Amino acid sequence: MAKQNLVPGTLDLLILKTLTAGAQHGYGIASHIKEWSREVLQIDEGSLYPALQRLRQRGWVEAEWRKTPNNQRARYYTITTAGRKQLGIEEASFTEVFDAIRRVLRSV
Amino acid sequence: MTMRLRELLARLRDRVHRDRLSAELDEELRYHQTLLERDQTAGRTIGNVTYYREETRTMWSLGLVDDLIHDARYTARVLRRDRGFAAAVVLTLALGIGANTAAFSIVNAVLLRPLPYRAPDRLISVWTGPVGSPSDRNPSSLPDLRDWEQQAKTVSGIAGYGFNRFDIAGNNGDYQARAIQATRSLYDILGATPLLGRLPRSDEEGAPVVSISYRLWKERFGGAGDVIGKQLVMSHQPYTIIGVMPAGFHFPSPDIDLWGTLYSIMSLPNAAQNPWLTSRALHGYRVLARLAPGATAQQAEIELGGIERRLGAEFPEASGMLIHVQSVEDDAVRGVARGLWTVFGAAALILLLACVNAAHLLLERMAARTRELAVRRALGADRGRVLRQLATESVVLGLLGGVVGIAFAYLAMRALLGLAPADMPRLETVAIDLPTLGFAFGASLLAALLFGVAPALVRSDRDVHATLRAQGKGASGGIHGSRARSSLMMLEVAFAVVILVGAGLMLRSFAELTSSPLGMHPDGVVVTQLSVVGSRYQSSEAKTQAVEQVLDNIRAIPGVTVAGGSTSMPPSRIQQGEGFTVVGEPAPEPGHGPSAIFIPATRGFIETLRIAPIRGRTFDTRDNATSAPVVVISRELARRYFANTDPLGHQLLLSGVPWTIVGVVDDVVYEGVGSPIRPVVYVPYAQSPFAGVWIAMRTTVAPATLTAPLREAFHRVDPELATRAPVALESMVSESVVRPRFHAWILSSFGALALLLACVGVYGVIAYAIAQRRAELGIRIALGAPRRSVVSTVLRSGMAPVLVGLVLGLLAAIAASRIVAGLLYGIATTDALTYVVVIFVLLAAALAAGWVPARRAARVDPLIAMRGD
Repeated sequence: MAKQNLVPGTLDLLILKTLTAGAQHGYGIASHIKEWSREVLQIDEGSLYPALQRLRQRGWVEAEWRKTPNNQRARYYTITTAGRKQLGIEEASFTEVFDAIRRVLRSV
Repeated sequence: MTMRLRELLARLRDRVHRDRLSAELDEELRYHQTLLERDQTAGRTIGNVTYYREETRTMWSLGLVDDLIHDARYTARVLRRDRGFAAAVVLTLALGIGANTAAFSIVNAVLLRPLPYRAPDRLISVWTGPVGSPSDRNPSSLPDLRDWEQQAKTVSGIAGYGFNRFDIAGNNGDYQARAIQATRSLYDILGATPLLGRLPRSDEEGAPVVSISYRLWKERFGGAGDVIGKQLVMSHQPYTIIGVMPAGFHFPSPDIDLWGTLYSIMSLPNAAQNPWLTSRALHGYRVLARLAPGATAQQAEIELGGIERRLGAEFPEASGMLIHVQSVEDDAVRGVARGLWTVFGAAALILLLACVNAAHLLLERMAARTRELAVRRALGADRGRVLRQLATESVVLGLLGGVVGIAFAYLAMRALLGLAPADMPRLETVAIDLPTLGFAFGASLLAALLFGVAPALVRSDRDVHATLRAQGKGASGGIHGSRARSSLMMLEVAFAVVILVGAGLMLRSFAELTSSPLGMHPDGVVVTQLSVVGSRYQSSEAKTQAVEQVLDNIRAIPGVTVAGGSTSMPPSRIQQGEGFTVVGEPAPEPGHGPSAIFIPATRGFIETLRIAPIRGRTFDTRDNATSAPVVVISRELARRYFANTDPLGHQLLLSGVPWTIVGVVDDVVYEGVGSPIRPVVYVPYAQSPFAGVWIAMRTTVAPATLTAPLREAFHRVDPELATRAPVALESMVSESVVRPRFHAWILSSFGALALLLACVGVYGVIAYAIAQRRAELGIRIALGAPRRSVVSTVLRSGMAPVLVGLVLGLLAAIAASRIVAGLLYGIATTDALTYVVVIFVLLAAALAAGWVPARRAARVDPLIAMRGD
């Protein structure tokens, strides 16, 4: 399957959702999205890292340097309470839009 | 909202820690890369890491602000490199902005800042004028004013005020303070807020109360807080101080120190019969009114005019009067507005000229930088970015110019204030304040936009490749560049011509004014004042006796040859005008009668001023209180009313009394140098004594040395007589032309500035043209062209735009000179001499400016010139 571009505005949603499963580093977030989208969604590093900075500046995620299981240093991101709240809002609005689109697609 | 703020703060914090964040990101990306390489299924490696880094870095930047900081840094570097250029631009702009800011600070204080009264736009002045001369603006009589007060509906309040002088004993001699004596509700109408206490109330018209000026409070009472309720002795009468007005308050002019009531008149014996309170013929009160809500000044003029017509039908003394209403705001600056706006207009022109000059310099430099800019474009800076860089440079230069300009303005303002007429209203409030600083700032930014961005727009669109190919040489010297330069120079010359013509007209006018005949000889005349006021001098005899005795004492002072007194003093102090009729002629229509300046004078007055006798005699010891009333008339009065007969022996009817004409003397200027000559009647002081007397003495000694002998001469008659410092009449004459001198001086300095700026422009253009044509000139010289012909070739090409600019400027000046017509005396706005001199001066200056680089061109070594850069 060809790589798909993300629907605009959904990258934040996907990152936040991914982090609800636990702290993760940038590469981990990208792999998680790739895996669960069955390789349809490929996150470009040029979008991922600016997005992480943006989420951090908005207070939705926090960043922390930790040791990986392989004893390497990596920056792990965790979702904050504000981030969970934002995720709720974004998820709801995404579902709403998505349902709306689906209804239109089925209409004729 | 809070979210946004939080994000912004986080961004700011990240911006500060950008270096650390960058390092962390690099590590993060390296780790990412490691994992990606390890992952066999990824099927790709990491892409353009630099690109990722740049993308992420934008999250820590402040966008435009960061770009601006970068631009400013770059600008600082560029300007440091081209120090000479930067200094030239900053200096040029500073001169323009300085001149403008100084002019604005005065215009703002005098013309723009609202008057310190409540809703000043609703205040009007009401003037009367005889039907026969509708342009006259006279005060009103008290009974008329009382009737207006009762009947008028278009005004919510109307009141009158007169001027008076009071002697106030001070620590270092007597101080003569000017006072306002107001009718009932004047201060309620004015709505001014005192600093301490209050102003007189409407029920205090006859009460001895007074509010004092800030100046008097500081000087006389040391600014004491408990001054309210204290006594102030004014011309021997005690008054109670009820208020202190704030600094800078003035009504109606800045020289007033006391705001009081009609007490000094109403407390006189027989006040009920005092003509100042009862006569409709004595117009002694200026009138101030506040428009009723919804009413306009025009409605008030119509209504008051109607009331006055009805009064005229009832009282013959009030007949033939027109009512004129004027806004107090216009009134306050009458006579100075046009001059100030002219000065301001000239300053604005200087700023424009400075901008054009700066644009010119910038264009020059832009030519030298074409290559640098082309390289930046080629390296990927987009057009907007290059434009913004150029704009930043201009703005920085503009602001620097503004800062230096404010310093200039401060110096210029001090100079202007030193020269400004002291009677210019509100001058004491002139300062570099916030509006002035705002103006300077705005002017600098505007200048920056004008001189910087326009050439930048023209320039930045140049073909990058062509410029780079031409090694930054050819493209800059293209036809377009030199044409732009020539047009700028043309503009500079045209602006300079306009300003020079203005300056020339003012100077010529001033010269005409100062050489206009005064009708007397002020050299060697010293003047002082005597006021015979107080209970001791109620009677005419007492006044006359005191004045005669003081004069006798003065005549005995060594060095004084002749002395006399009068109620008026040329060139600009007049006591009053009075209507008269020639006995034997039919009575004129009400409001159409002739009038003359009425001057009671002692013997010796006409002789002291050396006013030329024409016929008959002047006053001598024969003329006293009991002798027959006699009058000496001026030549103008004789010309107007006795054209075909000998005036001697005829009689004039003045305030109901027939006076016999015994002499004719030459015309003297009493209403200001350059003002039209009006008829004058002199009567013996003894036959019509007034309290205020000007004393003139012809002497061989300096005025200051007379101070002590004069005090002695006064005090031998009465130790309580107030003395004032003697002054030379010549200084009074020069003081009376201070306003035209002010205009002439300012415009001349502006003219010099404009000429200098224009010359810099001419120099620049010719120097540049020579630089461009070095190789060609070198060839010519090598081929044997005489150096003289090289010079003239170069000069000729440079002079063509100068001539075009000169013609444009002359045309513009002829059109604009109508604005200053009202300020000119004795010359037309098309004064040929002025224009000829301006043409000559400008051409000479332009040739000189062009000559310098042209000479250098002729000395060029052909070998070096042809080799090129």
